[in-house]
Amino acid sequence: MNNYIIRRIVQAIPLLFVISIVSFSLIKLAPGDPVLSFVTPDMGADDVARIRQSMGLDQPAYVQYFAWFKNVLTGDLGYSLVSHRPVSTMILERIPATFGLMGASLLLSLLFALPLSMLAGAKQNSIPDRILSLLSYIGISIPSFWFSMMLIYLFAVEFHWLPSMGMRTIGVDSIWDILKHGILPCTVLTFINVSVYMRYIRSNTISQLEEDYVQIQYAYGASTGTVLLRHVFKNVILPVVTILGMSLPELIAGAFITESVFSWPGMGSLGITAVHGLDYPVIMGITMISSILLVIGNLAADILYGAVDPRIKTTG
Amino acid sequence: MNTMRLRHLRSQFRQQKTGVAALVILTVFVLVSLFAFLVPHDPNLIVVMERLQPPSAQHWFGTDDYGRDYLARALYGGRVSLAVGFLSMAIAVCVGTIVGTASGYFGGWVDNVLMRIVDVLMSIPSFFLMLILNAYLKPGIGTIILIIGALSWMNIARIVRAEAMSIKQREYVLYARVSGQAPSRIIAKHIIPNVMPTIIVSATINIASAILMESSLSFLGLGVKQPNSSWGSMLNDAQGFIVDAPYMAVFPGLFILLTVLSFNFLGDVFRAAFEPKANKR
Amino acid sequence: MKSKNLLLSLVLAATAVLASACGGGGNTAETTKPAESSAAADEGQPKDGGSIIIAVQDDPKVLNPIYAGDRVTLTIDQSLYAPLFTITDGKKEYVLADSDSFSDDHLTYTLKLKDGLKWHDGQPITADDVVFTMDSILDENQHSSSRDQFVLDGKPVKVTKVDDLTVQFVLPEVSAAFEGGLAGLSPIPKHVFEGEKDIEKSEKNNNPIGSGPFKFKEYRAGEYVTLERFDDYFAGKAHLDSVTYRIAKDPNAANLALENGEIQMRMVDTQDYNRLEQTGKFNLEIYPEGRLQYMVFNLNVPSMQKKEVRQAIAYALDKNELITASYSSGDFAEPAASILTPDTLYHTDDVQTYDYNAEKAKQLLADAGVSGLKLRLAYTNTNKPQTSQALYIQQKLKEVGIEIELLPMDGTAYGNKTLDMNNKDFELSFGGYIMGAEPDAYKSLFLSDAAYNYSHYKDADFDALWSKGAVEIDTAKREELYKQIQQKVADEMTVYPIAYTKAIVAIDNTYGGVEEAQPKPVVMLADLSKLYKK
Repeated sequence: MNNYIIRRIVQAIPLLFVISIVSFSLIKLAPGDPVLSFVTPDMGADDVARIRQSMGLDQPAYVQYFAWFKNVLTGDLGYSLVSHRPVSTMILERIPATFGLMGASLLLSLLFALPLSMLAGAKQNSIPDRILSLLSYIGISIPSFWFSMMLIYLFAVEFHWLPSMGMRTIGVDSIWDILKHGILPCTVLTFINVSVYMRYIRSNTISQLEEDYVQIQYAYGASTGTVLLRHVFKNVILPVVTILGMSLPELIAGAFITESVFSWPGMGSLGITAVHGLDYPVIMGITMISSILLVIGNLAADILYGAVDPRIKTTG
Repeated sequence: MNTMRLRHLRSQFRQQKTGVAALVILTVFVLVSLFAFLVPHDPNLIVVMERLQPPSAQHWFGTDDYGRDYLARALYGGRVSLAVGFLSMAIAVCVGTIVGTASGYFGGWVDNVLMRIVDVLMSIPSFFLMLILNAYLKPGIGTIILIIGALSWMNIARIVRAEAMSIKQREYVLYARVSGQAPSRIIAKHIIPNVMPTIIVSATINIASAILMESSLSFLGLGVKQPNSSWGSMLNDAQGFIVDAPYMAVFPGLFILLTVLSFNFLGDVFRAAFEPKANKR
Repeated sequence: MKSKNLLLSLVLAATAVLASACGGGGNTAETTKPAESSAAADEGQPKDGGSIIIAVQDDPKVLNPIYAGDRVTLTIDQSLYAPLFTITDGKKEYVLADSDSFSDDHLTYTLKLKDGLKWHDGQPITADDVVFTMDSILDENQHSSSRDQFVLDGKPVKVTKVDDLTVQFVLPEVSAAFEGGLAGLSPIPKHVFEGEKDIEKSEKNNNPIGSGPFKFKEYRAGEYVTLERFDDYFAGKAHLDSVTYRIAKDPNAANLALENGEIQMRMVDTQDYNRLEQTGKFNLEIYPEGRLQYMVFNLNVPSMQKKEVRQAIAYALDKNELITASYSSGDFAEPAASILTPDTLYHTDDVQTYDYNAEKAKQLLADAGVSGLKLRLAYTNTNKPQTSQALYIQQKLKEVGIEIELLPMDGTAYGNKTLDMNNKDFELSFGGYIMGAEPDAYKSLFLSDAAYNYSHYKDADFDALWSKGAVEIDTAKREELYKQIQQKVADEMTVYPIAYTKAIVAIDNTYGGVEEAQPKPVVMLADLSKLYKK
């Protein structure tokens, strides 16, 4: 097992390298020139050339890449081309907001989705199952920006219960205040996540319950609850583990729409601004962090697979 | 096998009324968007004096902020949304299934290479890929389909792979291998039918998310190119008038909801019908 | 999202403020006592205390006026830094400066600062700071984008300290535009930045020391920037205790927050006007932005080289309808005829206008021997008014037999294409600029070889008019030169002016002193120190 983990980590290094090259090439090949966002009509051609040079953008792309790469090895993610602030600072500023929101919603999603959808699967076609299914259908059918706007309109504008935007009331610095601001965006993300998880878990529960081994358990007189907890749970958790592993990088940039609508000061909104300005140091920084999280997520998922389903040998 | 499945499908439809309702709704949507030209309004005709009119006898769905007939736009928009949803799902499912089964069944270096490619693509944030791909490709509906398809097959591949890995350890597959059947035959006869429920569930979710992703693209300003419309782009444009003209958000919102719901209901019917376990009974 | 990508117009807008007369943080220095003006009459004396939350679209960039170039940074700098002086509608108002004068040969310019000025950290503002600021701008290693304005004929302006409050500028050649370039320039503190290798990347910008009515308190990335009252402001303490600029990315959500009272001030779109007015909760200021919205013909493409064709297109469009389609009503945009905005010196309406006349358009096309014309129209895909205009123009030109293909483009790609001197990818495109009061600034959009000459119209005589205008000191002669320029463009129809657009700022009506705070293009209010909580 330990060997396996070490090997996966060693494998991840070239992967990260490839990701960085692919992302960098994508940015550099994209039509558009980051310098242009600084060019103004009163600047002469030599002003433009000077700015280009000062940002190192006059060099060929591969030279820029290796300059970037060398700095990253020393832990320096460079300076944003747009705001001229250190990329590492910019990302660190955003991490608490993003992790807080996404972490809370992932946790809540699991807490709701697992019991509810196993129940729904076990009591297929019962009234609770129908209600839950309908809700989950709606959850995956609703455009998130539209849902967000509706929530803002209802809970902030009509009822005045909750703030509509941001993460803090100006001048107030309390956890309670942040939680209050987090309720609406977290609701949007959780509702959508639960709906997605539920579809997988419910249909899996149903098919597991039809498996021979379950039928045998029933024949031996096991109760539904025991079967669900002892046997089905282990098997339905498999797809959830995969989805969770894939959700980790979303911690970084997945919720960009929700972040934008609620002006949540997270990584997603930073990323969108950066892509618009072809601000490659920032894009690369975000991409690399999300890649590292993905590697961790996948590794964790595969290890969990091995733990949950002994039929899968972690040798591949 | 096939006739049996069809029989199961028919009996499922008899059992599940929602499935029939879904079929009816989808058929209606497909038909009305195909025959959208019967609406006596040009969907792109701007009438400055008739901006933001609420629904009336003349304009059943009212007019938008350019004074264009909203019903006509919704119907023509339906064509785009349905086409985007269906075609990009098709791309995603084909690629995802091929990659997923190959990876899961063969394992070893095939699995390694394919999954590393998936890893690379998945670890680049999707909005970044969207924005960059959009900058490369000429804007248009084909581009949107390609972008969405290209962004969504990886999920399916990973889920299918996980299933395939599990299925290939089952006794009947092991038996087939020992008895010297060709891998292609094993994949076609044993692996694919067994991952089918997962693929179908994925596909329904995928069609839903494709239609939704199209609206996300609109949100980023990369959606369907004006003067054309899609439900997603209409919904996005309606955000600015949520207080003045709520009907503008209601119609496309409702259409998206109904369409996606229907696809999901259908997916459940298919799943129930195609499930190998169900066949045994 | 919607207006975020008005790359071009924003860039242009930004320049304008740097380049020209519309600067001015606390331009209230020597004006009449605002507290006694009209607003005070019916609402009593302005009270002190309270705060305001203003919505901005994005995070600010470097909070340093020698680099500011985007809307958000300029808006915040407006309260943080005070300029030397401003020029509004041709009237000069001294802020940090006390007086200025030109020598008789117009080559030496002397500027005197007020006595007793203080930076936010209590240090005195002196001639050293002005010299340091100018040196930094002129230092190529600091890559300030304002540098070119102070380089005349390839030689930089020489700036020297005369005494603690007096600075002398020696110009390499006579320039009528120099003063306009200096207006709105805000000095930066020498004692803070001296010795910094790269001022733009300096950590010191994270805690800016300014000279305006409000001083920096806190910045939280992605959330807000808070400024608090600077008690030693020379023109009198601000009424409000603090000002917060809240970053609100999504315009629709920001509107709801505004109605909800979480935000008290925001620049809104024309489509929001009626609704906000009906709530009765807002003071809605509509004022000219000093901005021209236009369509430009790309003469690189042969089909656009015939003047008759360009004129025919102008005749085929109904400008009033075009404006209604894109700005809801004529209240929010004034039909434009000249390339110079009304607030620019020597603006004239005495140019050829093209009143809607489809017959004449068809006639002109027939005379030019053109039929079945197919044109491509490019614009920024996230820009709502441009989209509306494109749709309208497509429909309207169909009536005279011209087919238009719409090319909505990503902001960056669009900016890139329009700057390509050999671009032949489209015949028509939209743009908007705010160039300020000094007409000379406009030449970068019209000279034959200028990067921003989007029409690619090249004419030596026309260039000569601009060069003469830049150095002509006699006002009457200068006026005549710029009149010829405006008439020439209108006649050649290389640029189709659409409208002088207006900005709408919504301010919660529990605040008073809006008029005294002076609504201003780009930055919303020129002087927030005059705003007070009722």
